[in-house]
Amino acid sequence: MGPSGSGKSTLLHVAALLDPPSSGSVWLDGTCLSAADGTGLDDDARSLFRLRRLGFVHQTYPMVVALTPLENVMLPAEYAGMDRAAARTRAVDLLARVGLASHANRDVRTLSGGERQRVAIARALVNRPVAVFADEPTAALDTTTGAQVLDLLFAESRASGAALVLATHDPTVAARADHLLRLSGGRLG
Amino acid sequence: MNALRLAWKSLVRSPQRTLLTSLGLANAVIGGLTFYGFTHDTYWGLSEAFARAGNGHVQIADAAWFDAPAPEQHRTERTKLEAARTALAADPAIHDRLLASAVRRNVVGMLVVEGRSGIFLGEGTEPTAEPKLAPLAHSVAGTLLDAANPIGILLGAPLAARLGVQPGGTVTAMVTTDQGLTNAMDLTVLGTTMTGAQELDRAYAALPLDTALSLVDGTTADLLVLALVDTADTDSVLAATRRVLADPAFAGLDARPWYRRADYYIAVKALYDRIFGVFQGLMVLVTVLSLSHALAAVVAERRAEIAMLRVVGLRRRDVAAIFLAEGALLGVLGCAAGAVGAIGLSQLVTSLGGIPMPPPPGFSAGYPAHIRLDAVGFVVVLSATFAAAVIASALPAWRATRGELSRGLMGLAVLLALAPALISPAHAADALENALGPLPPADRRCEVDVSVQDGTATMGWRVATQGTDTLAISTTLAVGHRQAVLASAGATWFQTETMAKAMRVGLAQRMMGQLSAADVIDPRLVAGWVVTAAPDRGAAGVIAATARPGAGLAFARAEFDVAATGLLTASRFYAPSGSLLRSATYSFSEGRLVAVSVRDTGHANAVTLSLGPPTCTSSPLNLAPETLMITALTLLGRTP
Repeated sequence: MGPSGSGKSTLLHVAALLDPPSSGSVWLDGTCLSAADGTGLDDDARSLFRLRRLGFVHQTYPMVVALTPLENVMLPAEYAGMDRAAARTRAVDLLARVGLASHANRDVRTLSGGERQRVAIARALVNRPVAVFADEPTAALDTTTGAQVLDLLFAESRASGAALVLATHDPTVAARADHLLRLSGGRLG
Repeated sequence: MNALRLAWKSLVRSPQRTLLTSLGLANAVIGGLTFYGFTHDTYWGLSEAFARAGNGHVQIADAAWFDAPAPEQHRTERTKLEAARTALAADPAIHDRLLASAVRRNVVGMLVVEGRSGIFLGEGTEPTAEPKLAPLAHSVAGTLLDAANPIGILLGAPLAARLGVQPGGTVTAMVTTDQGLTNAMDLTVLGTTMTGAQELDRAYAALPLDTALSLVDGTTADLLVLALVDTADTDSVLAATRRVLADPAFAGLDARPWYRRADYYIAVKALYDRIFGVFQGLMVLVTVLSLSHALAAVVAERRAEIAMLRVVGLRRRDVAAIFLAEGALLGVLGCAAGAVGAIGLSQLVTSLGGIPMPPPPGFSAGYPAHIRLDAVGFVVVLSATFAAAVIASALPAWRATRGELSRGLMGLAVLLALAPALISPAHAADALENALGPLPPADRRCEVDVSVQDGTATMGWRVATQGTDTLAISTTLAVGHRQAVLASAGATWFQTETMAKAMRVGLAQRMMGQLSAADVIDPRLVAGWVVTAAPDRGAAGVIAATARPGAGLAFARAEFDVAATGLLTASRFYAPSGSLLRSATYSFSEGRLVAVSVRDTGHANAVTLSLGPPTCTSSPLNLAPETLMITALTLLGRTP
C-alpha cells in the first residue's frame, strides 16, 4: 500500500510483466522474466507467461463486450491451449464459485460493476496462475460490493493456490493481507 | 477461441457498423464489376464487329503478307489457299467449329459512271459464304452479293451516291492487272451497303472472287478467312490451323487470330485496360483508406479491451490477428453482397435492353451496352476488394498492438474539464494565487469543443463547465460507444453508452493517460494545491504549489509559469521523489486559450488539445452521476 503517486500501480505493472522496469529486474523461481537491460523474456514469451502463470484484476474491469461472461472467462484458457470443452467446464465452475452461474450467458453490458469485477476475478483464475495481481480492484465499486469482491478475491486466490499481490491505498483493505509492503516516493519502506 | 470467431462476434455485436462497412465494400465491388462488365461488353462487341464483318476469326495468308507494307507483293495462289481450306475443314479439331470460310482478293482501282469517278477498295469474296461470314452485313438499297450475278458489284452507300448510281445501274471498274496492264470491266450495281465505318464506306466495294480475279487477270488471292461458330474457340482453332499448315504443301502460310488483326479493337482494349486498371487501383485505394479509417475508429473505441487482451496474455500477433480477421470477414461480406448486387444490376440492364450508347469515333451507328460479367471479372474484382479489406485492417491491427499495456488499460481517454480559466484565462493566476478563485455561477454553463491528438490518434470532446462541475462527452466515437465523464463534488464519474450506469473513479487513484490531463488544464483542481510562492500580481513569474494532503492529486508538486498578462504559459508537475512527471505549454489567441500541449516523461508523444471558442448559456445542466449519459447526450443535442 501507499499514497497516491507512490508507485503502487507502476510496481504492480512491472511485477506482472505489463511494463518493463526502468531499473532492476523481475525474477520468478530463479528465472529472470524482465529486466531493464533487456535481458529476460521477449515480448511474446512474457505474454505467454502472463497467459499461463499470472492473473490480473484491474480497477476498471474491462471485458470483451462481444462475448458473454462465460466466453470472457474461457478466452484465456482457450488461448492457453485448453480444449474448448475443458475450458467451458473450468469457466462454468469458476463463474459458479463467484456467484455468477446464472449470468454466464448474459450480455456483459448488462452486468453491474461488481458483477463485472467478479467475472474479471474468474478470468484471472481460469488458467490456475501462480500469482494474481490486483490493482485497486475495489476502487470503482461501492463499499458493500467492494467488500464482497475482496472476500471473493482472497478466497478464490487461496483456493486456487495463487499468491495474491494487491495494490491499495485503503488501510482496511491492506489489513487483510498476510504480508504488507509500504511504498512511499517510489521506494519500499 | 480463435481470432476468426472472436472477430465474427465483434462484427455481430455492432450490426450497424458491420452493415455500413460491408455496404461500402459492396459498393466498391459493384463499381468494379460494373466497369469491368462494361469494358468486357465493349471488347466483345468490337471482337464480334470485326470477326462477323467478313474478316473471320482466323486469317491465313503468306507469312510476309500480314505485316508487309506492300502486301500485294506477297499474295498466294488461290489454289493453294483452297487446298489449305480443304485440309482445314477436314481436321476434326476445326470441322465442327467452322461456320464458314472464303478466299479473298483485294482490288484497288477506279469506278467510272458517265463522267463521274471514284476510287474503290474492292473486296473479292465468295458470295455463297458471305451470309455466314458477315451476318451483320445489310443492304441499304438493292441486294447483297449474289452468286447468281457474277458480274455484280456491291457499293458503299456514300460511294454510290458520289457516282450517282442506283441498284441495277452499271459502273465501269478500271484496275491495274497483276501483269501491270490496265483493264476495265462493266459491272452491275447489285446494291449499296454501310459497313459502319464512315471512311471505308466512301470507297468500299465488294464483288465476287471470280469477277475480281478476272478483273485483275490474276490467279493469286490475299488470304483465306475462317469464321467460327463461337469466338471463344479462336485459340484452339488457331492452334489446329497452325498444325495443319505445318504440312510442307502449305509452306509459307501462316495463321493469325482476329485479335491480332483488329487494329481498332487492339487500340480500344489497350485504352480501356489502362483505364480499368487505374479505376480498379483507385477503387482499392479508396477502399483501403475508408475501411482503414473505419477500423481505426474501432481500434480507438476498443482500446481498453485491446489492452485487456494483451494483459491477459495474448501476444501482439494474436491481437493483430483478431483485427485482420475482422477485415477479412468484412471483405467476405462486402464481396458477397457486391457480387449479388452486380449480378442484379447486370440483369436489370439486360432486361432493359442495354444502355444506349452513341456511335464510337469513326462509326455511324450506336449500340446498346450491357454489363457482361464473367469468371475473370469476378476473380479480379473480388480478389482486389478482399485484398483491400485485409490491407486496410493491417494498419489498425498493427496499431492495436503498439500501445503500452498499462496506458491502454488505464487510458480511458478522458479529458476532464476545461475550466473557467479557459473562458477567462487571466483568472488562472488569480486562481492559483488565491488557491480558489471565483468560478462561473452554478446556474450558468459554458461549453467548448476540444480535439485531443495523441500521436496519430485524434479524439474529439465537448466539455461543459458549470460552477465547480465539469461534464465531457466524446464526439468522435461511434454512436453506442461514446464516453462521458463527470467531475463533480470531488469525485469523477465515468460511463460509456455500453455501461448500465456510471462508474466512480476515485481521484485518489493514479490515473494514467489523458485522464491526468485534467490536472494540467483544469485550474479548478487548484483547490487541491497550496500555493507556496507566486510573483506579484501583474508580474511574470512562477507560481509554485504543493498538493494539498487528501486532495487526491496525482502529483506532489507543481509549477505554473504565468506571463505579466496573467496568462498561463507553461506548467510542470512532479512526483513526491522530485522527478518531473509531466510538462505542459499553453497557447492563447486574443486572450483565449486555444491549445495545450502535454508531455509525460518517458512518453514519446505529446498530447495536444485544441480548443474551440467557448459559448455560455444560462440554462444549467443537471449534473448527477445517475443521469450522466443522458445529460451528456443532451449536451450533444441528442436524446438518448
